[in-house]
Amino acid sequence: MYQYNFFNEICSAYKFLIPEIGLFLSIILGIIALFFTKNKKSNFNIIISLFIVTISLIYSLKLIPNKNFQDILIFNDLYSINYLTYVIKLIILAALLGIHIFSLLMPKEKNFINRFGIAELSVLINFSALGALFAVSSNNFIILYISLELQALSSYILVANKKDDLKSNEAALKYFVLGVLSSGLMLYGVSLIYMNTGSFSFEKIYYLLNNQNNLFSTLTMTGIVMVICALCFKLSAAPFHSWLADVYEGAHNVVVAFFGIIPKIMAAYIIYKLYHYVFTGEYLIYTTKIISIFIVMSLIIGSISAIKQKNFKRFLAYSAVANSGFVLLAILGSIDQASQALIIYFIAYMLGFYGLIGFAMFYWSENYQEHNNYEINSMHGLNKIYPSISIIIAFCLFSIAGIPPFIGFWGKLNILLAGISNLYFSLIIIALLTSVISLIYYLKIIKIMYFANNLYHEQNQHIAHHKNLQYKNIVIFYGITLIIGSFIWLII
Amino acid sequence: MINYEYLLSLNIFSPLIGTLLIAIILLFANYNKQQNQLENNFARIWPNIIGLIFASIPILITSLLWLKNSIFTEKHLLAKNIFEYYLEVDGISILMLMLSSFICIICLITFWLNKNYSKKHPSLGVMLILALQTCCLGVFSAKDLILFYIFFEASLIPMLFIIGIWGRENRVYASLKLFIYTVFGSIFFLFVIIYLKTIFQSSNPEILAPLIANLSPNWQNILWVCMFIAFAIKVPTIPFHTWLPDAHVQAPTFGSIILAGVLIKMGGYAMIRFLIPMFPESTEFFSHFVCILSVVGIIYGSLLCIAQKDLKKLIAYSSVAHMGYVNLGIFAPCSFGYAGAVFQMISHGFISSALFLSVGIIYDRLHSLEIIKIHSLSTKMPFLAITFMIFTLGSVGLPGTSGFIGEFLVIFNAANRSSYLIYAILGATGVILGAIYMLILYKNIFFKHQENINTIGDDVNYQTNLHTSKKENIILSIFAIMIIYFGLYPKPILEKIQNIKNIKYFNCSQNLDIQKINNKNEVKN
Repeated sequence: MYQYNFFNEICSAYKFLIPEIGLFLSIILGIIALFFTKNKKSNFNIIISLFIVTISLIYSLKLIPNKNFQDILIFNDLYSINYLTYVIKLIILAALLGIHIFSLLMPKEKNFINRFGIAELSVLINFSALGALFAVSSNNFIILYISLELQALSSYILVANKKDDLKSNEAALKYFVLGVLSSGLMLYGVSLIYMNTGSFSFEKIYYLLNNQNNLFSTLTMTGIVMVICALCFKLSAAPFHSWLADVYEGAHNVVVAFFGIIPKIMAAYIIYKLYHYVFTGEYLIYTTKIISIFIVMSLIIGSISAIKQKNFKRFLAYSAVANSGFVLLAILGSIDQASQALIIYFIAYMLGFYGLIGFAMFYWSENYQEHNNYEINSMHGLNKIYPSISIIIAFCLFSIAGIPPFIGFWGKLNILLAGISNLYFSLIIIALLTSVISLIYYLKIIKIMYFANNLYHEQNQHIAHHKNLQYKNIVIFYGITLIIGSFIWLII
Repeated sequence: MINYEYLLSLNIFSPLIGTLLIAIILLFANYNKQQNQLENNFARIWPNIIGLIFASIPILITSLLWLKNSIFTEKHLLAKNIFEYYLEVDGISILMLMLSSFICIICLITFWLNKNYSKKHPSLGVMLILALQTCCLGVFSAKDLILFYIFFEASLIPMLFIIGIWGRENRVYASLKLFIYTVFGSIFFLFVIIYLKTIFQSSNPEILAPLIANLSPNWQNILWVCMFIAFAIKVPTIPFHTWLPDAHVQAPTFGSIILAGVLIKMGGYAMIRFLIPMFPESTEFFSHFVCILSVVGIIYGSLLCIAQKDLKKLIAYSSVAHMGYVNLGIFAPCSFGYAGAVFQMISHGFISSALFLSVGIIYDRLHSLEIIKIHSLSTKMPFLAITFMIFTLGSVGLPGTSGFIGEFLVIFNAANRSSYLIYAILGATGVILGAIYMLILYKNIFFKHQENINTIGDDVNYQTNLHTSKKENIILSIFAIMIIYFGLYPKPILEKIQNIKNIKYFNCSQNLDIQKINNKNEVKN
């Protein structure tokens, strides 16, 4: 007789839980390793996480389920696994891999307190990613809230890492207050939905909301709006984007790399799931309208605010806001096209974004510059100093801007195909026009790097040519993967 | 050999392979900052050799394809639902492929001949020219809309860098204007592509053409306008031409050569290949409008040329004027207008590239492009004077040069229908205006002698030897010979133009079908 308990469930479905199990194992080993680290140095810890994450990634790549895979529901309908969640977990794991590689190889700051390398921080990143993994697979609002909180609480601490830096403290405080506010908003929205339906499970809510006996209820709509707003906060869609610029500017670069991808994928998938599977039926029109408003605001605010930015990281933040507008546009499409567009767009965005953050990590570290100020103007004449790296930055920028033949174009093409499938013409036109506007600031960086004015040139010549071979090889290897990535995708 | 399955892809991507090889070589080279050049000798020589080899591979393959008079296709299904990698090379495409591969080699040689350009980032220049060659070859071979769009947009990136790095004082403004203006137009093209892809699940113009006829006429007109904007910016049609003078004036010589020789032709080619077969009814609806724009382009462009003081800007505006003939040929309805348009594209490719090459030689010697300051070049640079005369006659459209045939076919085609006769008349007056500015220019540069002045251009001593070198002579004479050869014997080109599938163009009321002319020739022979 089949006895339902925790152990049985895991045994039957363990193949598909490898990402979570692997990550949990790395957290436990990391915490144990904390007792053995000397002077809070943490290379050992990062290596552990790296190792286990790599193994779980490779092992789970072999077990990708079929596209027509049915939903598996385990743990008494609390947890769902299907093809899409699996792929997104793999993307999150791959992003995590990149983050650990960054934290291992980046040049260490002289000021020890500001350094990212204190042992517990890699464990915190793993916790946050674990929260993201749980949230992606959640089938129940309670589990969703718990995993979102797990992800958020770890990230509050991560932002506040640089204790000596005023900007970091400001960013952490702002993010904490706004994040807690959005979590509270989500909880209230969930409670309103519960009031009308009496259940937290996604499937039951869908069934109960579209029951003939249940009429359209404004309170449920309010609850839905609140849940979507809280998730858009995580996605940094406008008008919930104000935390992003400060967090990018204040946090450590590894944390920025974390924030650029993982909360966004998680939130995008959850909004996709809620939009297509839970809040459909009668509520679809209104949900679409709300998301359309967010799309238009994100695109316009994101592309226009980035034009005047002088700080590299704030510039990245506002381009991320515009990109989250695109992500929301993908969600509005039909189910198949939306999922495909999300996956491709996030892979493309991850590659481009990690290139830019990796460059920011090395170029503005204390080994290379006296001032740690991340000013775009200090990139003048980069073509003469580091030609290969400036080409890679140009590739990353063109990829994020969506210019063919780079991989970012395929992402944008898929999103536009998904967005137009329900004939939302005005959204498509706004998206296309804002992508032309966003070209202004992407080209501005390329202009500063390549078409340099001679004045600024001489100021940069004093930068010592450090023979940091690690750095150069990584970036070159990265460039190769980016170029190959734009063509290999066609074969998939 | 000719039936090798991947021949067309090899044709397109062989310059890209050269780019990657040069990049790999540069990875292993060390850069000496004090001397501002690469330390290793092999890193200085090998990129040039690789560049030359991989830039000439397309010419060899294209010549192979030229010899066989058939339509080549290559079709692969990639990325399942999104994208079909469909290449097709028929008569018009082969001509444009030959033109682009030839002009790219000339561009590369010009880059090496000019020491000012090749001292500054030499290997980057070779890589950019090779990448540009790939994009040009891809544009003219692509049949699928998305593939065409990829190459169409990708050709802007090397152009951005070429103008921005090696250009003149205002180069940043010119390169950014070129890029953003053209991308803005292509956005509308992308909108049409994704709309058609969503509604009809196909991006193949052959499949789409009968399906589009089911849409309502209003929608067809809207889609036509969106697509037309994208190509009109590239042609350039007035009023979307303002990027061209800036881009040409600020661009280096080799940039101007490839911009005027190849990149501009993408617009006209796209109109023939995609716009008209897919939207024939809308084209008829808008044909008068476009003919007016093209005639305005011819006359306004020529009038602007008469008033120019800068040599390069003058030739840039003459490009605008000549491309007006292309537009007129495509949109005035009769069956051989497009033949005139294609011939005009090819001959203008040669003539304007040759003109920009000559202007580049003048700028290199005299360091100034103001017509007032330049004088007495017929005694100082005699070989250039001879060849520049041939280029001038070609630009004017003298019978015997290739410029005449294109213009003649276009004007004759427009005159065949009574409602389009006015455009033929105005186009013919454009020929006269062309003669005015080109001959006045020639007189002012070459025949004007100023005896009291000891300097030519910007402080170049009158006694300095300004003769063109042997290599430059060879290239100039190649251009001159081709212009005269195709002016006297246009049959190879016109033959290729007939080698297309039966795409529905306009119906001509007088049945002057090229197929029938061809049949008559065969009967006679």
